[in-house]
Amino acid sequence: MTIVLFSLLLTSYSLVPAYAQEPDYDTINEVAQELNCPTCAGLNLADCRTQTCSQWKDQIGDLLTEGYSKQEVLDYFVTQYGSQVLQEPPKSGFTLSLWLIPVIAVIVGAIWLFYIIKKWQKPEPAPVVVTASAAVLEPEADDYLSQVEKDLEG
Amino acid sequence: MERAVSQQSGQSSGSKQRVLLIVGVVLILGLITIMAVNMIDIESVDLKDRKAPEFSLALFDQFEDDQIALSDLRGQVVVVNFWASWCVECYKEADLLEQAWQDYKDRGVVFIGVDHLDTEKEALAYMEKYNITYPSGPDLGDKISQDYAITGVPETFFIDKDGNIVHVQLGPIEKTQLYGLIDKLLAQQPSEGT
Repeated sequence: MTIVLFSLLLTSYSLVPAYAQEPDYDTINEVAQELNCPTCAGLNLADCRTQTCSQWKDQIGDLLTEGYSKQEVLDYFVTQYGSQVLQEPPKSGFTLSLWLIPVIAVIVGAIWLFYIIKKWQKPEPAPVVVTASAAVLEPEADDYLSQVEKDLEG
Repeated sequence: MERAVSQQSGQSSGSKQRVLLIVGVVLILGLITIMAVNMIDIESVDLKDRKAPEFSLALFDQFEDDQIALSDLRGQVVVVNFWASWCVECYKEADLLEQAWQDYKDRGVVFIGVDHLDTEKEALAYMEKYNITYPSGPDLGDKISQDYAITGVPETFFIDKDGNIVHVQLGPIEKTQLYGLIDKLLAQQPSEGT
């Protein structure tokens, strides 16, 4: 009987999810650092001491105890409170522009800078002096002139 | 011919510069537009005399219905209260709102509680403490709060039978004002077609 009970105890223990244990302060803070305080502008949830943030941190603890992974906790908060709770805006939809615009600005700036530097390095072309002897003529014009010269000689 | 080549090269370089200039100007204008859009700061009080933004609120489990939609309440007076369990000011009006709901629920008035940025456990404890029985639920994704541009909690919107916001109450409300507003809205006839 004792063996059966012991086996049952072991089996039930092994069924408990990996995260399903009381999460420590550091684990909760690790998730909280990726979230914003909902009521105070610009403050990280981990650093906030308001009642709202305290409730939210408790919520993180509860979810971790239930077996949620860190990402699942963050997803839960986004579903509940919107993507503005994330410290880093998501890379999709309108907020994608927040990520793309600086990158595009840097690329355009680099191209522009490269272009300017290249232009500075290139020496100004010398003014072209066209003289009769040095004039480069089109083959058709050359034939025409030869014919004229021939006719004049003749 | 050299001159022609030089001219062609100059034209090509000029057109590249023009393209870069256009791209730069478009990007700067885009940035300015995004910043301007973000700076347009509509507040809840600006919604007065406007059509109330439509919403559908998922209700807490203890309610019979799963959700309540504003569009289904046309022809009735609707009082939408934004609250949170962490909001100390909300405690001051919690009993009053429940009492008013009991007084008016059979007279064509609907109260809706929108729980803002709250945790379910504490929200349910709050509702139990103040015995709140009017339809309430969490504002999933903070969407309703954003559509109503609330600046904090508590905030209460009074919507007439035609679906227009006629009053926005910032902070807790007093009994005289609450009952006065509801009586006034009840006395109004909805416009035709509502």
